[in-house]
Amino acid sequence: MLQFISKWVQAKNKKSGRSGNPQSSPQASGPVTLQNIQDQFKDCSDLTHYTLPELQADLLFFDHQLDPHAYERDVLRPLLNITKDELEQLLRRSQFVAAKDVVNTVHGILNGYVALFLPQGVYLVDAYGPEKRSIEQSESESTINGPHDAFNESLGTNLGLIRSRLKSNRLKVLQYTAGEISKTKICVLYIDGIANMEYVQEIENRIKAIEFSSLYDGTMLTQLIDDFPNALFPLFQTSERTDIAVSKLNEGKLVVIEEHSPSVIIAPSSFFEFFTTPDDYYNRWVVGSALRLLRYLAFLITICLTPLYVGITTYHYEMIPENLLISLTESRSRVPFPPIIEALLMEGTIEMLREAGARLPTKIGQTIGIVGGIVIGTAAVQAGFTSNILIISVAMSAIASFVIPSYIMSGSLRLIRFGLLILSGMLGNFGFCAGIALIIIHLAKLTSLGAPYTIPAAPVKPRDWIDIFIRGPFWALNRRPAQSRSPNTKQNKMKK
Amino acid sequence: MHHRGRLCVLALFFLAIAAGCSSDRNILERVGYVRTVGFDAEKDNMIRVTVNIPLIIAEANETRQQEEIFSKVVRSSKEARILMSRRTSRKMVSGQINTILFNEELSRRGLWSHMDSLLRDFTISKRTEIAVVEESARDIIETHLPGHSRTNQYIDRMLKKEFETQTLPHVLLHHFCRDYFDEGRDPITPFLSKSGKDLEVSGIALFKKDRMVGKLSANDIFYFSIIYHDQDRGEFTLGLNRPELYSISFHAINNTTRKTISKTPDGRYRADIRINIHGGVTEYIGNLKMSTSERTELEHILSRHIEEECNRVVKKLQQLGVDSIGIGQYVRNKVSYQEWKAFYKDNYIQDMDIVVHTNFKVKNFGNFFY
Amino acid sequence: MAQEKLHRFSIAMLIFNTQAGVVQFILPRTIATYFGTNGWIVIILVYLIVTLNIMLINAVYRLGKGKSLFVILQDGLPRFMLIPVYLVAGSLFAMIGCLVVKQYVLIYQMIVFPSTSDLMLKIFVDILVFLFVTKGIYNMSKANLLMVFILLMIVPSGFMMLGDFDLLRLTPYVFKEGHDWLKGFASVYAAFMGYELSILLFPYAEKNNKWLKYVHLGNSIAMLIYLLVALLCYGFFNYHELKYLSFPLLDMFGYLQFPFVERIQNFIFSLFLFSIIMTSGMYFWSSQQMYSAVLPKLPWRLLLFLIMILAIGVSYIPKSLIIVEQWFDVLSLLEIGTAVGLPLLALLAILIQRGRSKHHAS
Repeated sequence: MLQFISKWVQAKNKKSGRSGNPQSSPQASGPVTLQNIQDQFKDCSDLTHYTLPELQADLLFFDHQLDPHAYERDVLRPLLNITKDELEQLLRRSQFVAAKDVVNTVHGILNGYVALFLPQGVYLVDAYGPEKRSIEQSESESTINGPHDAFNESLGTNLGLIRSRLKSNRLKVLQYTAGEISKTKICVLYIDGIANMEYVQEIENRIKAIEFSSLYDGTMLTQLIDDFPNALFPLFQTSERTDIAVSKLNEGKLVVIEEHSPSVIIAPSSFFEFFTTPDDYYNRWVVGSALRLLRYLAFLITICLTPLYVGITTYHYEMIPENLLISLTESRSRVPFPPIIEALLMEGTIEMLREAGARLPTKIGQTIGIVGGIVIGTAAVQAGFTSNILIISVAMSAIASFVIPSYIMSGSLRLIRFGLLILSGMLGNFGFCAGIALIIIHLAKLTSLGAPYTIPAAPVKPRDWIDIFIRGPFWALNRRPAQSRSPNTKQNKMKK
Repeated sequence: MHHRGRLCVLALFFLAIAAGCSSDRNILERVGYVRTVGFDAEKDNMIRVTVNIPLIIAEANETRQQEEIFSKVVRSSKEARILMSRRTSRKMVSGQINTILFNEELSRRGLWSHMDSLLRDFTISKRTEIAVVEESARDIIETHLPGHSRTNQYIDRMLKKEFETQTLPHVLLHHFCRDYFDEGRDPITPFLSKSGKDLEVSGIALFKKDRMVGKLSANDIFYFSIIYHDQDRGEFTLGLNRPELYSISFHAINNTTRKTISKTPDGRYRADIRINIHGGVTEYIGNLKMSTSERTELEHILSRHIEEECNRVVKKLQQLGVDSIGIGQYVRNKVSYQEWKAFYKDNYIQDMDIVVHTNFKVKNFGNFFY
Repeated sequence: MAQEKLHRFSIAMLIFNTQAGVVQFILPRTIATYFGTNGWIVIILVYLIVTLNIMLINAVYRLGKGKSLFVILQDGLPRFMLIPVYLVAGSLFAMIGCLVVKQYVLIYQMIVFPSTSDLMLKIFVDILVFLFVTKGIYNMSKANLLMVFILLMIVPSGFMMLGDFDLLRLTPYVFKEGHDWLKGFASVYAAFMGYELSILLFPYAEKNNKWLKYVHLGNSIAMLIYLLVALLCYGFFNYHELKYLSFPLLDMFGYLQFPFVERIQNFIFSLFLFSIIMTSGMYFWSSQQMYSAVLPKLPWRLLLFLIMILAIGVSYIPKSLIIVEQWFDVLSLLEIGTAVGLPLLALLAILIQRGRSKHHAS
């Protein structure tokens, strides 16, 4: 839907031959006068107009965009404490910037500046500081060990969180805006000398090419700048964790922060990165490696288990070992549907439960859990609706899908499971393998910011395997990943 | 580009659905998978095929386990399948056969013509157990022996247990075929018979190619096994009417068997089979003290006795002209191709001198130090 | 960003997976039939000959200074001479690419789907192959790597068969009781087919000579796998029995047992779909390369589509596995001719070109 709107907007723009959006661009013509600016903000009832008759001064601002302290300190108090004669002196202070034209003024007001209209001219004073959430834990990426502060919706806070962790003047921040109405600020962070400048250039081009009316979240931004809009998988990793962002910067990747979004984008990303978490690095390396392998196992289970069950019970009964045979037949014998229907029903129910739980407030969510548990776990089997072995399989794949750290990736994998399910139900193992082949062909095509998505498996970079498939000991993690194509590959000069 | 890709994927799904709506589905609970097949000899070269199909019936909230048993006199096993499938409510499939029984008479006629359909069928596992039964396979499959689990499970579990404890050489369909094709070895199968209310592994059926020519009794299985292959477990018991050794039982038998071939001056081939056996005593009735040097004496008596018995078994094999212990393979590895071709003929084992040497060692004698 | 070159390891795996395929399932039987006892040794002999052939191809690369085969040929030889060569080679590649799928599908039909239409299954695989090839050679090589990793995971299961492996059954005799060595030789050689396509990879490889060694590496991996399979089969079964087993390797996998699953042979065979897609994909890609040299104006994806449609049409003719194998016998002889002929032709072109430039210089 959103894409459709954006296409429509693009088409409209092309027709009118203007690159800017008429709704948001103020007319540049005319002198910067109070009247003129007020006209621009016609019907904006939230605009505050404050007058200081003794100075013949007018203040225009959005008070919800201001930091009250800054406003008081930089604007109000100086103005109240002076006489008209001293005004000249005051305006020399650095916070008073003369407004250039109407566009400049309007943008200034929108961005939290106070516009000061004086007989001498118009000045803008920065007092930006809207209400913001305090720094909290991330709910979608909670952690046991490691830093608990997560990004929030404030760009300044997020930049601050990163800066305070990387005290280097080589950490560069490039700022762009995107969104024709929203004018959302987007910052691209990279470490000079570590990140590959080709990527910086590429992402700049892509951000500049965005023609979308407004942007709401970093996860949405990833889809606007990615290489394959039709890809099944997320092509950029997103995270709310500060430690992830910092470690990826250190690996030579770029971090893109969108204003008003707690999810920062890491670019380029590889498919396998979606299975790593910072916790791996906070555990001992053997434990961390085991956890990582567990996650890959979960990946296999979540896409394969139910499809294989369906394929085997539909076509390949001979693959069932004899110890399972009778119990499986017994539990299947009361089910009136073929395995594929049975599995689709159960998988569908689980997905609905999960979706319902995600939307509902926690308290009701628990009720859903209990109802779902009873319906699925007991009643469905007792009623002869499904076999209990399928329940185990469905439950295992659901659990396994939650093991995958990235919720977006987990969603993609669940969708794939349905595709595989249908193929296995139709053609057994053959369909299953064809489905896997299809996924592999699709995966191999994908790139993330132009870099191969399946690196380090394809193309092969064995040196990276130690930090992707397992979590090697720190002395062995001495190189930046090949995907970053960093000019400075050595990461760790520590000896054993 | 993307458009075409998506079209292709759609076409793929469509084809999957089209191809999938075939009759090749074998949904687990809707097929009747045969577990046990029995072949009996009938008059005029006909055979009687008996199959056992477990049946699970779902009624309301209960499931019951039953068996369907069909028996037909036919020319070939696939013919039987077609005739029987008219009588069952489910599609008969052979992918879960775990035991194949032949009766002795049929085995003596030759099995290969029936093997053909077993080997040609992709779905039949090479891990299927095969056994020769004394009287009628039908009888064994049809009767539910009281006090035992269902017959198909009973035979299957019993044979598996015997293989596991190495009280019987591990012989499955795969081994039977392999030895059938091997020039230097003849196949064997377990031999089952009914004794009272139970089934019993009562020996080993010896085959010459695909024809059964004789059988070893249950008492000979141990001697045969130690010649046949190395073992690392298993147990046996023996008794002699001597004061030193009235009865003795061993467990944890561990033997290594070396077969060496040499040529005697008169141009015959001689095979020396050297067997080293270790075993732990679990029971001993006799007047020797194992904790003293008398143990060597006991070991000596045992070695001589086992040697005699082994030689007797080998003699029997030679009389029947079957090389069930694979001496031919060792000869083949010793001589040149021309010599082997000259040597290899029916009953070659009768032209050989085969001598078994055994050396028995008591590994331990248990908790009772005497 | 510029299109990356094929990594040399990718090339090794590309060659290996193009060579491997259904043939592994049949090879032990072929060897046992034609060479009898210890026939697996022949794999090593054929491997050595194949190595010579690869060295010939390498020589073309070195002498041609890394130029594409088509450039080399066009520099040295007149176009009217080359067009028939391209057409014949292109058709040959397309036929092989198609029959590989056909053979696989027929076997699959035999073991799992006796009453499903093989045409339906074949079109199913062909669509996968089409999707695969349209991604271009670089993405094909990446997909291939992922597939090879999955396929190579099967190899350790070979060790599970060691329990029933006995050196005694190998016998001490070499090549006794075989017949038709020449025919056997051709079919073992055909098993190695796929390396000859490396001649088309020149413009896509890294611009140094290192990758040439990796063609040998790919070939060696294929040889090792064949050798492992054949050796295991000889010791697991025996050579007399091997002659009577349609697909010895499938029987061997059928013998394996795991706690949750047994009789995995048809799953393993399904996994070999990956190998089939690769083999067939590489041949269709080569065919398209050949035809594109004739019809450079046509968009290559459309050309590929047309080639595949034609090939599917032709492959509809053989109905049974035996006939497909007979076709393969003929095609593989032609293919051996191509494998030797193309590099020789290219060398000739280089010589003519050199002679000409010398002439100009003087």
